[in-house]
Amino acid sequence: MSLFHRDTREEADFRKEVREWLEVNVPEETRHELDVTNPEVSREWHHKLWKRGWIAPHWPREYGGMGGAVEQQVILMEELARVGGPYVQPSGLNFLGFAIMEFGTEEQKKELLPRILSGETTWCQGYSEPQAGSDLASLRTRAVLDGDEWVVNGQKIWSSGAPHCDRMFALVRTDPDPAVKHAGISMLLIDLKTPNLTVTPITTLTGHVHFSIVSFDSVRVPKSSMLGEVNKGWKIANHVLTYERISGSSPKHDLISMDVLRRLATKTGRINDEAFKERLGKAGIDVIAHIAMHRWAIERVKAQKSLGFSTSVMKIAGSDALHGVTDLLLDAAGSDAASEEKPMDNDQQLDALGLFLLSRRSTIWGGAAEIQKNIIAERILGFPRSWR
Amino acid sequence: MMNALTEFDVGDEERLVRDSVSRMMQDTRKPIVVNGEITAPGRHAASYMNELEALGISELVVTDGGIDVPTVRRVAIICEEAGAHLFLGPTVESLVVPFITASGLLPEFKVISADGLAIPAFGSSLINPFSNVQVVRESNSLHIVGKITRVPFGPMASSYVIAGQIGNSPCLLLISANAKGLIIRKEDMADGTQRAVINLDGCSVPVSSLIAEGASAQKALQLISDLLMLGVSAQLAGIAARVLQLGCEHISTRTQFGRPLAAFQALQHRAANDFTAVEISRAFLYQMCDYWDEERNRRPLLHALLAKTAQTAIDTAKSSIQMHGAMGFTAEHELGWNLKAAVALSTRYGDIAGHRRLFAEFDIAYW
Ligand SMILES: Cc1cc2nc3c(=O)[nH]c(=O)nc-3n(C[C@H](O)[C@H](O)[C@H](O)COP(=O)(O)OP(=O)(O)OC[C@H]3O[C@@H](n4cnc5c(N)ncnc54)[C@H](O)[C@@H]3O)c2cc1C
Repeated sequence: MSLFHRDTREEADFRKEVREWLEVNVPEETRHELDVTNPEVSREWHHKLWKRGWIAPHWPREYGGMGGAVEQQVILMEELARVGGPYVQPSGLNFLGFAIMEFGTEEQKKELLPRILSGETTWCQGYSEPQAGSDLASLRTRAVLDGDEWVVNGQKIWSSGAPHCDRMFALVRTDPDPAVKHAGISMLLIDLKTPNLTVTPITTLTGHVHFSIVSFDSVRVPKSSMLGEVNKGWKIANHVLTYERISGSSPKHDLISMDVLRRLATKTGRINDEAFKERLGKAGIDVIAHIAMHRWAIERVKAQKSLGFSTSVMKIAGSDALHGVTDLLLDAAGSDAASEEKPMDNDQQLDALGLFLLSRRSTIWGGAAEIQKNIIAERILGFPRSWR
Repeated sequence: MMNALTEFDVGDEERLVRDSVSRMMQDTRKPIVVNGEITAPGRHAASYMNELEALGISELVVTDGGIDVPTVRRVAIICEEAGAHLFLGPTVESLVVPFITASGLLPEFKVISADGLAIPAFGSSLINPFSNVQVVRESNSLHIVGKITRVPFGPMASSYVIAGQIGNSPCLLLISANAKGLIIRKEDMADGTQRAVINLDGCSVPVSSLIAEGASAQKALQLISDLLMLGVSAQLAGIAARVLQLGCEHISTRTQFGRPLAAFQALQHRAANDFTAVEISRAFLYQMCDYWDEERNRRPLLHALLAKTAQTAIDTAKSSIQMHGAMGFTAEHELGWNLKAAVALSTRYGDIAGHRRLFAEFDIAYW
C-alpha cells in the first residue's frame, strides 16, 4: 500500500518480502543516504541487491530483470526510501541500460547489460561541458575516426560519480560542421581507465565528492564503442534524459526531507506554532500533489503509454515541492540551522541544512528548471520560440 | 478543458458526460448587464435549479451503485466543468441529498428528497457542526435552539439538512425553509451568490424531521462533508484551467514590440508555472476520486486537495489578469469574476490556511 496505489496480492507479498529483507540487510551506517558517501559500500550494496534478484525489476527478463515489473521496481524504491537504504549509482540501471537495449548492437547488449546489473561496471554520464550546459547541443568534445579507433579530445564536466565509476557514456561531436547543431553528435561508451584520460574530482556544496571534470587528451577508444549510429547521438541523449527526468522526479528526497522536518519541528516545538503548522501543511500538500501526478505517470509507463512532455511538468513540480520542504527545514531549525552540532532523533541526525543545501541540485540537474519551462512553453503550449 | 491539459477522463462515457455538461453550460460566462450595471456571470437562484434539472445532473451521478469511484469521478467532472463555465450555483450542494439517498446510509431520506432544493446547511466549518444546534424532543415535535452562520445558497433552498445535538448525541434534521420560527438573513457574496445566517431559536418542527441519530448521523455528515469538499475542489480546478486557457490565448494573440507576447520568456515561464500547477492539481483531483474508497486517508487528502486547488485557482487567476494587462482589470471581462469565484469557493467550507493546518495535524501515511 502506498498513496494512490493499491497493491495487488502479489505486490503486497513482494512488498512484505522486500521490507523484511531490508530491515535485516540495510547497513546501519548508510541509512538515509541521498548521495554516495562511501563508494565501496554503495558497490557492495548494489551487488547484494543483485544477488537477491532485485536490482532491476523493471528490466526485461531476457536482460536479467523481472520482466518489466515496473510496479515491483517502484515498491523496491519506496521500501528503500522508507528504511533509507544506501545510494545506488543510477545511471546504468535507470538511464543507460534502456538506451543500450534500444540502440545497442547484440554484442553491446551481451557484454554491457549483465555487468550493469551485477554492478561490476558502473557508469557515469558525460553530457555537460564547460561551454555547453543548458545549450547542450553546442558541445565541442571532438571524436575523429583514425583506423579502428575514435580519437577523443575535449573536456566533460559535472559527471556525477565519475571519481568512482568505471565507464562513461559521452556525447561527442563527430561532425564539426553540421547543418543544425543537434546533428553531428554521437554517443561513445568510454572506459575511464583509458590512457590520456584524467578524472579530476569536484566536491559539492554538501561536501560530497559527487562529480568531476573528465579531460580527454587524444584518448583512443575502439570503434565498436559507439552506441547507435554515427551522428545520431542526439536521439539517444534525449531517450536517456526522459528516463532521467522520470527517475529524478521520484518523491524519495521529498519524503525523507518531510520526515526529518516533522521530527525536527516536534523536537524544537515549532510544530505547536499555528503559523508554522500552516506552512508545514502547505509543504506537505505540495509533496502529496506531486506524488499524485508521479503515480499517474507510473501507471502510464506500466500501460506502455508515452508521458510526452509531462516529465518536464513533473520535474518542475517535484523540485518546487522539495524546495518548499527544505526551506521550511531551515525555519524549523531556527537559530541552530548553521550549527555543525546536529540534533539527533533515534540515532538519526536531523540535518536541516544538509538537506536544504542538497535540494539546490534539483532545479539544476537533468535540465535546469528554466529549460523545463521553455519546453512546456514551446512544446506543450505551442508558444513561439523565445530569444536565446 | 483546454487542449494542452492532460486528459484524465477514462472511457467514452466520462468524455460524454464532460462534453454534454460543457455544451449545456455554454454562454454562462459573460457578465450580465442590467440597467447599465454589470453583475456576476453564471446563473443563480431559481432559474439555475431548472437548468440543473434540465441537464439531468442528478440522474448522471445518482446511481444504484451508491457512492462508488465512477460516481465520484462523474461528480468531479461535472463540478470541474461548472467551475470552468462560471456556473456558480449549488452544483455539488444540490447533489448531496440525492446522494445520501443513493448511498443507502439513511433509508428515510427517500421520503423527503423530492421537494425543491434541499441543501446541507452546516455552515462554513465542516468540523463538528453538531454543536451549533440543540434539539429537544417534545411530545410530538422537536424544539430547536441555535444559529448556523455562513450557509452557502441558504436563501434559495427550500429545505436544509442541519446538524445538531439531542443532549450529547449528534443528529441530522431535514427541515423546511418555511418551518415555524426559522429566520433567514441573506448575505450577498462577491461572486454573485448568496449565503445565509439561519436562526433557529424557538423553531419547532415535526418529529419526522429527524433523519439520523448517533453513529449514523456522524457517518452521513462525514460523507456529505467529504463530497462537498471534493465538489468545491473540482470547481476550483475548473476555474484554474479556464483562466490558464484565457491567459495563454491572450498572450498568443496580443502583439507588443512587434511580436506576440507569448514570445517573451518572462511570460512563457509564467504560463509554464501556471500550467504545472493546474496539471498537478487536476492529477491530484482525479487520483483523489480513484482512491475515494481508501477511507484511512480520505479526510486529510481532501483538506490537501481543497487547499491545493484553491491556491492554484487564485494564483492562476491572478497571473492571468497580469497577462491581460488593464483589460484583465475590468468588470466586463470574465477574468475578474473567476478570481472572485475562486476566492468565494476557497472560503466556502473553511479556508486555505485552515485546511493546511488540518492536513498538517494528520501524520499521513505515505506508505
Ligand atoms: C548535482 C549535479 C549533478 C550533475 N550530473 C551530471 C552528469 O552526471 N553528467 C552531466 O553531463 N551533467 C551533469 N550535471 C550538469 C547539469 O546537466 C547542468 O548543470 C545543467 O544542464 C545546467 O547547465 P549549466 O550548469 O552549465 O548551467 P547554465 O546552462 O550555464 O545555466 C545557468 C542558469 O541559466 C539558466 N538558463 C540557461 N539557459 C537559459 C535559457 N535559454 N533561458 C532561461 N534560462 C536559462 C539555467 O536554467 C540556469 O539557471 C549535473 C549537475 C548537478 C548540479
